[in-house]
Amino acid sequence: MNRQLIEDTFRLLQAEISPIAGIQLHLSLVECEQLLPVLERYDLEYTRKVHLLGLYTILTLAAQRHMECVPHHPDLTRNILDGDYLYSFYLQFAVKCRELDLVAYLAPSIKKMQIRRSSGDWTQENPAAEMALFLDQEYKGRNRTSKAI
Amino acid sequence: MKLHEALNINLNQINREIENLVARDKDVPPRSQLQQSILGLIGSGGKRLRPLMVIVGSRFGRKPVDRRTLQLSAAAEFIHAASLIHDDIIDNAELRRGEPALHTRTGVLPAVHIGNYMSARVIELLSKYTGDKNRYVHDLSSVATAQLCLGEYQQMEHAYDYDLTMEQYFEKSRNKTALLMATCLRVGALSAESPEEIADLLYTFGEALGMSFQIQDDLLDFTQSAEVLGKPAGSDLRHGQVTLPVLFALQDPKLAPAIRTIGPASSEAEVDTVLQLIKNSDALYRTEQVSQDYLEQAAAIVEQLSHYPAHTDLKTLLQYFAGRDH
Repeated sequence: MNRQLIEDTFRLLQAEISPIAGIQLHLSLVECEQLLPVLERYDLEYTRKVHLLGLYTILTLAAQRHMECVPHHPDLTRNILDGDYLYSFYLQFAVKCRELDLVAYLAPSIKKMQIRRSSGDWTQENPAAEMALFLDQEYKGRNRTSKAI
Repeated sequence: MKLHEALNINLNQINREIENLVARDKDVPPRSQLQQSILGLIGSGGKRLRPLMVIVGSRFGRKPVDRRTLQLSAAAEFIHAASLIHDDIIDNAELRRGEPALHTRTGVLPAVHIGNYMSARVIELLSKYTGDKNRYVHDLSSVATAQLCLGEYQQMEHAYDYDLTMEQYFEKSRNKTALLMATCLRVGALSAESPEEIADLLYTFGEALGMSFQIQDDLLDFTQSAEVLGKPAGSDLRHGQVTLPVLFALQDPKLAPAIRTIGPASSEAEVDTVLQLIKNSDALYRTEQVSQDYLEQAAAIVEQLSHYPAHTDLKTLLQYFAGRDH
């Protein structure tokens, strides 16, 4: 099931991403596994799981590429452009999947990560934890609404 | 008269809005390197063309300029400035607007993330405008920024590529420069609730204007001094950027062999010789003609919008772009 989900997600992302960028999307199973239990915890449609894993993948890869921006590195230009493109692609993909509430929820934590990294704090970040909090909030909100009805 | 004066736009108000994006961000430590770097870059000048275009676009709507339009105009400058920080790292540029480039003061990795902060701050700010009818607010950060990156990829792929076609050059310029300007006018219009078809016309106007702007930029690299440009003249050719004057010069069989010798290892003297050859040819004149063609395309759209009082602002933009010398 998880393998299928990962394959479907990468297939969708690869179809959406511009061939001009030439980015090969790949996350290790270990990296994907941070979000997979979160997706299992909630009663989500399969398509939505694909979208959420897609957004998680894009964000993780964007941050990784920008962490590899070392002076005189032969791939410095490509790493900068890949990170930049992926951050804008994240928003494009979120608009298309109608996940702008998630974008709004994640925006402050993504911004704070950039602030920390600009001052030399390279602590590993995990967008899966923030996505879990978002889904939790969404789930509680939905439960409250159904109880009220 | 300066452009903002001719457009009757309060530039101080826009500048305050831009500065406040970082100065009033509670998550940014006061006087931190990030805050000082961004305020320094913003304060070092810049024409503020993109914010002005957002405001001009909004004058085609039903509502007067409000906070959202101002925030969008500030966001446009933030996105542009973030791209400049990353561009300077990519180009290994030491100067920006005559001052040391940001990454030369902070180091590369912090500078990359300062640029990222600016983009992330824009998304955070604009995310408060929710609902389907407000989806356009993200056009600056999503579609326009993605296109900008694609233009950079194309530029990187075609460095020192003297077989670049005109079509490839125009597509790269459209992505790298024109589409962000087009989007500024469009989101400005939509923020003031203009009809969709008017916003689309403004987008097409902005695209033509942006193409002319990029071509003029290519020309200025040949015709202006380092003092005026704030960076060494001729730096496009030195960095392998095959711009429109170079493409026209390549069509001259007497010039092409010399141009094709320029590569990453070329000396300053070799580059200077080729720059002079191109300057002495008809390539700059032909480039200017293409720029004029785009301005005429933009002028034709102004005529279609002549029933809006704000069409005179588009004429002002046209005049400014036609007479630009830096």
